[in-house]
Amino acid sequence: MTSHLKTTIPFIIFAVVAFAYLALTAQDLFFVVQSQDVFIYDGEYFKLLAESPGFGAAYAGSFLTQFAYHPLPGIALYVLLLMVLSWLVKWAFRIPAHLTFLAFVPALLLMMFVLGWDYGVFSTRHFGNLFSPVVGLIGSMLLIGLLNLLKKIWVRCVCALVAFVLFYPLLGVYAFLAGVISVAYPMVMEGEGKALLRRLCFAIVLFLFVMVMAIEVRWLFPRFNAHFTLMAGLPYLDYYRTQEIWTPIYITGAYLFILPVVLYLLSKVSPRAATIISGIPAVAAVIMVPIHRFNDSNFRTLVAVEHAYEMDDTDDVLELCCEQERPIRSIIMYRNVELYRRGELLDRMFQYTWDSDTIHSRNQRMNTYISGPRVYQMYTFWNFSYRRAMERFVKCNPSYYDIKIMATDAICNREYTLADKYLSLLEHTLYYKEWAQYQRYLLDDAVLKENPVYKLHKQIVVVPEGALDNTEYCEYMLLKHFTNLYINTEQRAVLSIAAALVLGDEDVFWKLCLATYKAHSDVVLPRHVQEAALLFAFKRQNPKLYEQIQMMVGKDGAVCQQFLRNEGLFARLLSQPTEADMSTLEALCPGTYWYYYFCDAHKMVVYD
Amino acid sequence: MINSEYISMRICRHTYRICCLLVTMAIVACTPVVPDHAVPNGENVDIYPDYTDVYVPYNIAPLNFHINREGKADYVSVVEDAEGEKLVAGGVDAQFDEDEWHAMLERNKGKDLKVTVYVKASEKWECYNPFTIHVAEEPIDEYLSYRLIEPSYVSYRAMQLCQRNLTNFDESLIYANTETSRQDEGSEYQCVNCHSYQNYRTDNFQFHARQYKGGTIVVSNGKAMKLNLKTDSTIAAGVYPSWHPTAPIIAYSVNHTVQAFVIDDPDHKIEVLDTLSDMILYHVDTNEVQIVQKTKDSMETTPGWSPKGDTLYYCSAYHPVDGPNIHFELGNHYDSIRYDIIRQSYDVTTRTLGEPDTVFKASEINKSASFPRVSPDGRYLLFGMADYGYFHIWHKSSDLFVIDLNDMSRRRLTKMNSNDVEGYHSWSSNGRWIVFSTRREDGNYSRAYIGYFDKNGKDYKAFVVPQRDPLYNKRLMKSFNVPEFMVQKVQISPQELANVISQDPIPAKIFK
Repeated sequence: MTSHLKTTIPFIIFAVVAFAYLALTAQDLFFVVQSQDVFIYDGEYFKLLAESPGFGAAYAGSFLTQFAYHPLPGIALYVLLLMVLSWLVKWAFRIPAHLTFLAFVPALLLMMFVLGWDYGVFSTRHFGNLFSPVVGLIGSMLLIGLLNLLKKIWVRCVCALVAFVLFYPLLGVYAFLAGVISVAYPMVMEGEGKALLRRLCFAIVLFLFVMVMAIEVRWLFPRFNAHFTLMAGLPYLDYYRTQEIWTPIYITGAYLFILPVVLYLLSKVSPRAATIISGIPAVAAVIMVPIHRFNDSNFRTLVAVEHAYEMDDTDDVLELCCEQERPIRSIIMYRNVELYRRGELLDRMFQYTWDSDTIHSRNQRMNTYISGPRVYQMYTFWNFSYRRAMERFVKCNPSYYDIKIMATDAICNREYTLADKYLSLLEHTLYYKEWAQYQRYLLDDAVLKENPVYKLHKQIVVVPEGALDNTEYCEYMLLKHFTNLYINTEQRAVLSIAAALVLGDEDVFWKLCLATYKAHSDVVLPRHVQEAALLFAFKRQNPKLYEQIQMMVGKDGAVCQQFLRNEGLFARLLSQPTEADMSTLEALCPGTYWYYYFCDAHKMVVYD
Repeated sequence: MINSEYISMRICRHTYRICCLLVTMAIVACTPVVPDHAVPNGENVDIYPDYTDVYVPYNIAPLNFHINREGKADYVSVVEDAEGEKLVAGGVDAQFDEDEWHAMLERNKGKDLKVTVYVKASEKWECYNPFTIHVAEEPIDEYLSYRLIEPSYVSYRAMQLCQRNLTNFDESLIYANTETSRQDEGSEYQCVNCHSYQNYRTDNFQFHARQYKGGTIVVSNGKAMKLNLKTDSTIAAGVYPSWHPTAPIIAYSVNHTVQAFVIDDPDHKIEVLDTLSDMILYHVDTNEVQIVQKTKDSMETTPGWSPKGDTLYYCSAYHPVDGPNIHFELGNHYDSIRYDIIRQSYDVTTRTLGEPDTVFKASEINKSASFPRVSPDGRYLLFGMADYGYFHIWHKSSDLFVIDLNDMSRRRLTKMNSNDVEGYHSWSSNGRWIVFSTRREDGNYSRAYIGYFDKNGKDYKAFVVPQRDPLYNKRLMKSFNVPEFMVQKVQISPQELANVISQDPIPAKIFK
């Protein structure tokens, strides 16, 4: 095999495998990372990023991240840049053809880093996280490669220092990595002249690097915390309590630092042995990519749901939410909201599990924080939706997601000038421009008043003027709100009954049932209302009421028949239930309110 | 050798000449020309920010503006004085040359300038109806400080105290909370707020840092220190400050503050209120806290000294705190808490306070006052007034008012106010300019506006602090908070302040 082929074939294999793997596993993740970022074609945006060293990598990273709006082209672009990086590693470190595997390790480690992300993608504080490490390392490798072209060590030192002065603001710590690597080995190991003198000079150069950083941070970036000088360009504010997510980045730096030593040592063994040895880190990295991946089922579903919402594919949202075996509260909230929007809430809400899982995140995350803005918005609590989006906007970096939410809330609140502010921002973006332009037609009272969502608000959010609420958790606030009987409208009755069912509040349930269904005796009661009515009537041990309810739900109906068939079981469950009774209930009445009432409702729900 | 040197010298010379020529050509080509035969279109020009018919100080930075007009067109904006001198800017964003602007305003103190905007959308030039900018005879203080913060609720992150030179566009940092944040220690950022200066000078000033490494930062004679103003005898550390104009004394209210969120009112999203508050004086030289008011049935807040320092003004609301559930009570009745303006005489030498005297009983007219600020000449008391509470920056009903302390007559500043929030306000050192926060632009992001207040006590239409990029305020996702005039720049560096903040606070003693 020719040297050219020896180089080319691994690159092709890498490209195909990396693309296929990311396309299979990370399309939704890429989309969500993109939606939680923002790139605005505007000088102010550039100025915002330019407040921190490493802003060049962040700016370019953010620019490239926007292309993940279309995940497959975004992944293709990402893989392409990984290939460029690998080629530059090979070039910068002069890796011979038979050791080409070594050049792919940084790219694989970056894939590990990206796939290791968890719920933290919903609260990232840095711009362009997806691409900025790739861009930073590409810049770093270019600098190393160019500096390596300089043969005279002293010239190289001076040039490295000049390059560092120029590139630290742009690349941050990636420039430092390049500077140290390009100077360290010739000075310490292979240069001409006395070893001690060379080492002393290296120490001086290192000291100068540190001085340059300190001076630049002090004078060029007064708003930047000097504590993070050596982390500039990295997403140091994210995952600050979870070092394992960072590990691939640390390993990448360490790997590139020791790579010249590895190459030197491999040059001492036979080419065949060297090839085999060089494959070890690459194979290890390949194995580690899927192992390090955050493969949490709820996380996968959540990012898929968010992607589907952004694509306005609410059928897909409902399907994904309903399929999840043990969902987190965010998914349950999305499931209910979608059922409500379809008018199926009281018929289907207990067909799916209510046994929720906690968020398995390396850092503490709250469901309200993740899904609060959207859930509040869909229930037309625009003030609260705006608040939640603003809280995220303040805590994290600005994102398309939050700006869109705030724009919509402002429109619905008829704050048109405020809405214009957010829409104008989105009009300076690539993929959200059209959405923003389309929303402008709603900046008109006459048009807005005809909007069904706007009309719904008057039905759902019924509170005394100026009523306050300090409930921190979205789901609990909604349940509390809907079971609070200020004034009830027909639209709200569904939500109120649903909330009463969830909380098992029989009094509220009866009041609402009477108010809602008494006037419409010809209406078939929703399935879960029938189930609850039979159960609660039976529980009261009032034969007259029980009989009346049976008549109301239809004695020959499937629900009533099912209840009557299992009356004995319900009597036991209401008095002294055994494990066997519970199992029988699960087998005979899955997906019913009865199952929820006796099994899921008693599991402790932590609202967060 | 000589030959080659000569040749290279010639090349350099020619290159230099060509460059000069190109630069000159570029300047000439870019300098807009006032159209000769423009046809008046009879329309008023729609510009942002709205600088039409405003009174401005003669030393203000150029009032650059953006022309709001759909479609592509060429624009020329001309500022002309009575002598026919012109200042010209081209483009949809009229950005004037700073030197020429200052020269023109200097020549026209106390006079009017006519601004005409020309537009060429098709073949012909048209001109809009000219508008006027009135140049006042009085200058404005050179610096303005403010906090940049998102209109946030509970969370906060990057926050900056900035200072802006009002005669140009230079903005620099006083302190950014990112300087000391250490996320790796599990803490988030500090909230920095309530910057206050002694008599417009910056060698004595203060601000608070809350939560992480919290404390009150007092800069006294240029030296910074971090204090803990919470004592066993007071309910909290100092909150709303006011430096005594001459003595090393800072008046503070001490507040227990809560906030709540309004479920369904776009005009009123947040309510910030106190459950308890009192008033203290902090003596910088002795590090002592002196209690001014510690009452069970009233809440005192937002102090402000008279210019001579012999009277302390503040707001006070009657609100007994003995109820079983004060938080619940307040949550239900927050809109019935109303603050009056009180004053107490103060003798600096004996450190003694007189009896409280009600200056304005706002509660009697179902209104609530906040932030009493006496003009430097001692004649006018400027304050904010809304339907209830004192945290008026979230109340759309909030407007600016003055009381003439000579005859105690009260009036609303009709020209300066808008339909939206007018909040934090302060006087310039010569008393002719008032700066305040307002959410009038979009209802959410507050901006610093400056209004002229003439020697007869008449107010004029206010204008937003000018920016180099006229659309800056449209794009900025932060609010201008607590604007305060200064006659000089803050000298102490952000890093020095960060070092002090990193230290442990010095506990204040109680004045016996």
